[in-house]
Amino acid sequence: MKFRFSIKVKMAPHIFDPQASTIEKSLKKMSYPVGDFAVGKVFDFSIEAPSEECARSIAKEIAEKVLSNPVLETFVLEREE
Amino acid sequence: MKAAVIIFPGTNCDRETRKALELSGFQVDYVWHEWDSINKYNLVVLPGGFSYGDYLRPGAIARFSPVMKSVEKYTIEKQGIILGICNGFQILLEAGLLPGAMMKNDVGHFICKTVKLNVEPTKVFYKTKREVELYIAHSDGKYVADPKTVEELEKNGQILMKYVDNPNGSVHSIASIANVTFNVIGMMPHPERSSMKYHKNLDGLEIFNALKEYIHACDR
Amino acid sequence: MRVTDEFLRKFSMNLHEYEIIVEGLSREPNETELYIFSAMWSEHCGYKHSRRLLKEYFKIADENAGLVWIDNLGIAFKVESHNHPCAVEPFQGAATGVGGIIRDVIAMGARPIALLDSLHFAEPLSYTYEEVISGISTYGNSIGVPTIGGEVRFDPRYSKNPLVNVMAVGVVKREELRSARARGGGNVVVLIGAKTGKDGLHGASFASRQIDKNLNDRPSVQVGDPFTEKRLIEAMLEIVKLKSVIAVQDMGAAGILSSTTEMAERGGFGLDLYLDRVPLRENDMEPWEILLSESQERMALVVEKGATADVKAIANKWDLEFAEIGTITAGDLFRVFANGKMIASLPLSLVVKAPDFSREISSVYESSKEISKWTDHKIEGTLVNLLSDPTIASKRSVYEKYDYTVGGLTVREPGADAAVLYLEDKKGISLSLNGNARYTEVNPREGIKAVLMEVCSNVITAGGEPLGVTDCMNFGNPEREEIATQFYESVRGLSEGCELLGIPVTGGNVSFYNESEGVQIPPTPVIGVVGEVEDIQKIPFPYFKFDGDFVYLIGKHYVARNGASLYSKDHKNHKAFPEVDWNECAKVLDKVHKLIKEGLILSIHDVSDGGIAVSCAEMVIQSMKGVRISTDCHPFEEYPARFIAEVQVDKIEKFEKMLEDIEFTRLGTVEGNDFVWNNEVIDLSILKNAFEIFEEPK
Repeated sequence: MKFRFSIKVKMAPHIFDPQASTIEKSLKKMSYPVGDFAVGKVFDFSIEAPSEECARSIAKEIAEKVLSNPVLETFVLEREE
Repeated sequence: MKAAVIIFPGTNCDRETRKALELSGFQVDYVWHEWDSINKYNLVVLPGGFSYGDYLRPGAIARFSPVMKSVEKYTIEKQGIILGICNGFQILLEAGLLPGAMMKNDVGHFICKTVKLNVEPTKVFYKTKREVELYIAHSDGKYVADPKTVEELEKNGQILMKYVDNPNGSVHSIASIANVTFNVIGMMPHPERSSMKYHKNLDGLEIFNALKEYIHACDR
Repeated sequence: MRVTDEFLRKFSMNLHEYEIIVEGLSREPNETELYIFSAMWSEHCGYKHSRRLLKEYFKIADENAGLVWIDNLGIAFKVESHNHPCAVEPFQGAATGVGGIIRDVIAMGARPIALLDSLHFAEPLSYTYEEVISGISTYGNSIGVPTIGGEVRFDPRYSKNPLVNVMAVGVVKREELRSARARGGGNVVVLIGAKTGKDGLHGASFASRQIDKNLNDRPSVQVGDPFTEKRLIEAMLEIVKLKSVIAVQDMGAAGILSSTTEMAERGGFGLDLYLDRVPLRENDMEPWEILLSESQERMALVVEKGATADVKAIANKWDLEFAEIGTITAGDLFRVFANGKMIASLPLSLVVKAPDFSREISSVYESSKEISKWTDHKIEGTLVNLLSDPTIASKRSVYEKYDYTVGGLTVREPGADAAVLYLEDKKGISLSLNGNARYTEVNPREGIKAVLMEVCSNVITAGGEPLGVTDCMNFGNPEREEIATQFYESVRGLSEGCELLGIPVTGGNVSFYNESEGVQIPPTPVIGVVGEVEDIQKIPFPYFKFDGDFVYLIGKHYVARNGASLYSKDHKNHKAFPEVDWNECAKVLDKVHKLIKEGLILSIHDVSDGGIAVSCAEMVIQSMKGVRISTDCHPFEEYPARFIAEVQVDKIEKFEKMLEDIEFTRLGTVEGNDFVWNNEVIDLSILKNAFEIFEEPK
């Protein structure tokens, strides 16, 4: 069975992200009332597996081992319909 | 003949671009990205570098710099020539002053080396050598545009230079283009790095000299 | 306060150090003060196992970077390591390593014009390798400083402890030279650059202990912001022109704490710091965290009282934080204030002068004297193996990821022995950075001299005259006798070598504790040399040019067995360094420099890894011009101060006459389309393919 997932990867909260900081500053200079800016990546894919539980565990492993750098980043894993 | 070199936060190639322009006979001023006094110049150059660290996308933030309003006005009123080199080219693309966009090189990483280029016999560079060798140094040099735009560029002679051996995957091996009114030029290779007597060759100086001739011709 | 092991571990100190502190204060230190000592007395900041030796054997001026003069231009240069951060997060570790050494150069008032890197990994194309190169590339390219040289070397023992040594070079006009020596009671300590966060906390002490898998090394990672660094570079270059700026220092290990205390102490003054005035990125920072933070892209200045407005204006233009965070005071007191209270009060001299644990332990190393002979009939097999060895093979796929022409000053591209940059008028500088752990492992004292000779030889082949040396000493745990010995012998050897060549060590760096899970790195001193090129139009080529030209070996012909030679790395026989006549070597280097100045040498390459056959092959591959060699020289043995030179027929007489008392051999001629060695014909494309094994397919 096919299960679709979306993984959002961002810098971990205690790590400074110069890119996010620069974009936020620039938007503020353009007078946009933004704050708390974060930059990340989105990975959408499907997993072929016999159950959702199984698919989810595979997706989690992919996120931890390959898609994110655990030294710097955290991720959020969501099932998509 | 007067030229301006615009400095954005993160611009790196300003000093040698200025030197090269002076060697070609231009009187050169630096213009800070927050100024807007660019009217008195025959040539306005957006040099190479990493404006705003290339954060978000190369040139994506610099295009909102105060000076870019003047650059836009300058091009609409056809006051002279705008030349964007490397990051400068990227800024002009993001600002919509040139068609198309830049993506990451197909090889997936930064490349620095000399490349051979075919210089098309357009009205801008018709007097130069047909083949030059210049340095490229970029991570995001893959020029892309929709097929209709590419067809227009070819048809109108807006493509100024093409790579002989496409190093980054650019569509139609495009390395340099002009806008439809030929007063805004973008090029990924760095002519300023081949313009001084101790450089590998002087092909870059020839490019600047040709631009000077072209500006003269436009004035008449 | 009860002093338990856990307590001592928290502050990374031993009981002896704690007792010295108590004695020095005549009381027990409070928690903030303990954090101060834990950082300042860490190996990384305090140089406990090396400072005394370095001071004794290298007479170094106490500044951010070393300096040599070419007319009225000062060339500021220094090499620094960032090994431990690269073991945890190689990309950011390498990137921030570049950032740090660049700031050391701008602290001298110099515009950075070049970067070089000496990298040591377990194997090519590994994750660490890719990420480190990517980190250096991303950061260096972004700030617009060309990475024009260096090396990449391999040994399995670097697997958990890669070495990333980065050298930066800058140029400063004599009248704009800046120092890191504070003066004037009442003058203001200024912070300029990025906001301060919790980055790198415990970083200084982190580099002072072996990487332990059980500790969570995560919070120690610093993320580099090259965009802020670039703005900092431009701002600083404007700021150092102001007469009101008295001293400048990079904020590196132990950030605000080390930079400000060191500037004050060097000038013989005291210091008051006000932590409330530090611009913070995070709200919940403890005072000790603010003091020790290693947030990147920050510098410390001492500015004349009342004259900070100009500095502030420049900081604002470049969108950098500006804060007056302290005052220089008369006397020896270091006081820290936070939330209106004084939270630390210490004798500054005690804080800055960590206890000395340097040890002078010598050893005796065997040298080999027996002349080495090549008894195989053919050389092709060994030659191909050597050319494709990752240490020798072409590094084009590495250096093409670096922007090596930004700035427009590059005269000679990477890929040759040394890089050359334009300076002014006809002059240039030539730069090289190398280490050779195989040599220094077999015999640290003699091995390091050979490395020094090699780096100087590189600079000479590019038309340069060596002016000064910077060194990065990468070693294991100095508390072990074996490592302390290696270090001591290396320092002695480098000092002797420099004295012989008449050039000073102007500065450098020491990185200890490159050891984990029982594996130590081999002793890896890395040496950088800056040379003056008198006329950049008169630089010899690095590869053969014309048929009919003669090929010479300049230097020793019959050499003793070198246990550290690369071709014999898998041999089980006893490892000893050859006995070397260093005086003779120095004479050879001097002579080669003169021959090049006279225009008698068309192309030249020094002989290093792989011996003379590899050097000849490298000169052939780059131009695809064949060569015919007839010689009884050992094709692969390695010995210092040897060069392969191409001389044109009409210059032979003058060339040979000028060599007079220096040993030299006519090896053969540039001719044909094959590599011919004692009648063995080897196809050039075989050699080229071996050498280019790691290059990306075109």
